[in-house]
Amino acid sequence: MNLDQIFDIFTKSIGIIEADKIFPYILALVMIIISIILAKGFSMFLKKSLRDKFDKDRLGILLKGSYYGIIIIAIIMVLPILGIDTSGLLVAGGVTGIIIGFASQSIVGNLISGLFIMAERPIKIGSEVEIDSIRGFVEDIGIMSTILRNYDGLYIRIPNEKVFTNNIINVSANIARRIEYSIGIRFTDDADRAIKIIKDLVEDHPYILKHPSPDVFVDNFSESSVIVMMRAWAPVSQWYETKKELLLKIKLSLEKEGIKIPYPQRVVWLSKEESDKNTLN
Amino acid sequence: MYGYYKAPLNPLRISKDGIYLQIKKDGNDLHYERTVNNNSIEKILLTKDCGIIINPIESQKIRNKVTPYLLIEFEKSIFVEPKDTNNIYITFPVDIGVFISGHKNYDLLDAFTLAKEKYTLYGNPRNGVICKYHKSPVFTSIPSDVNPLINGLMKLKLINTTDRWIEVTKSVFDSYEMKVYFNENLVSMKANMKILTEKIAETEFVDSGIKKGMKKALEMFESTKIAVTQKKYTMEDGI
Repeated sequence: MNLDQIFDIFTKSIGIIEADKIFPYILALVMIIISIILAKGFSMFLKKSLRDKFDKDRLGILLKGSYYGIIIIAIIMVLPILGIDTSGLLVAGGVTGIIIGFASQSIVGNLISGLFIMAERPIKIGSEVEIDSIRGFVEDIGIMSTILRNYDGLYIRIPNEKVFTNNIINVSANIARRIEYSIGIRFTDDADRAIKIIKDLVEDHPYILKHPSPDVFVDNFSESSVIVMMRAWAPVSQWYETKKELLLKIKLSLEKEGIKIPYPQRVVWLSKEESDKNTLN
Repeated sequence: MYGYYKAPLNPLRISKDGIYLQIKKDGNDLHYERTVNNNSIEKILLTKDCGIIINPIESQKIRNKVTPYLLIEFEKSIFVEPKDTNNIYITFPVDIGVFISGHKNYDLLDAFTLAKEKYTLYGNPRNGVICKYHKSPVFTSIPSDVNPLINGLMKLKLINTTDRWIEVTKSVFDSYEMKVYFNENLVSMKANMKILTEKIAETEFVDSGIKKGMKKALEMFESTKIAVTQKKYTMEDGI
């Protein structure tokens, strides 16, 4: 049964009414109803697939946008059926679109970056991060910008395009973080003893993790000192406190045992002959 | 030391194994003071009188709430026969909770431990978990020399479901599900470790003491109204 046959049956059944005038309206209505069903189905599909990737508010905006977007497109498609010429509208829309596109390039860039950040989730609210050399805690991730609170307590707004295109260091993404100290001791000091003192302190500290195992070793001979390296891991939540506390303990313990951290020094050898000549002169 | 101290508490003084605990009258209210390992805390109790319950509690909630997990590493590794079930006894660090009670209600007033505190990483930094760390000797029968203020004794049932000999070196538990039982001389827990593959096992606590007549400790997570949904912990990063 083709469209003409349906049209004939329809004409016969409603008889007195001019069916050829009513049919486009019914077709338009059916198309809009189908578009509403499609929009509903698509937004449900988006809700299911993006539920874990977006927070509730932002997902709501996205769902509404896609729902009404589909319906608006359907209405524009339906208008020619009703005899309304949309070519003028499309030309006007196209020109307006180009103007708006140029004017709002960065806005659209930020918006799309914002959507990608929300989907990819390299950072979360509360994460400690470094973005474009700015370090701080993430306070909010918006559609257009990300808000940081730096260590001085300042409010910093970073456009999402910048967040998306820059390297992001998320300090709190992993549960453990390494602490590394490079400690210089005198060449005359007992390096084995120094290593033992540091190892004991590391073992006694509750937040220095048992595994991965801490490592303390002689790493290098510098101009003025023997460099003892200490590498150990701590829970990321305790990292800063542990780092501060342990370094002070190491310094105090080494000093207590007579092991000193030397100043930069240079040994100068003077020839005796030269010295005698200088004295005679 | 464990038990219920009824009102009137003025004054209550407990001094045992390096624990000094005191409650005394301070004006119209009570003053709580506790010293353990040179760490002291003081609290004011805005009540004329109340009861105090001292119990061993689920591990982990002391100091900064670092982790709810407990990893017990065995001093000697254990080989379990294929398709076999065996019981071993291992120690675990005891945390002590001081609960304030009155008006048919109770809440945690203070928590401390005499056991050495140490933490470790189970798994990798990206997907692993931070655990409280404890190294335990392995016993095949109940040992007699476990100080109930420092260590408890866990009866661990090892269930090898595989067709291979399995070496077990450690066990990881989620402390939200801990069921601690005690008497004056012993703090205990019962747990199962079901070995699923060479590297994966499932651990869960059993709601029972290891000796008859042991009293169930107050559950801190119950008192702090934390909803517990997960009953088992799956060790996926090696056993």
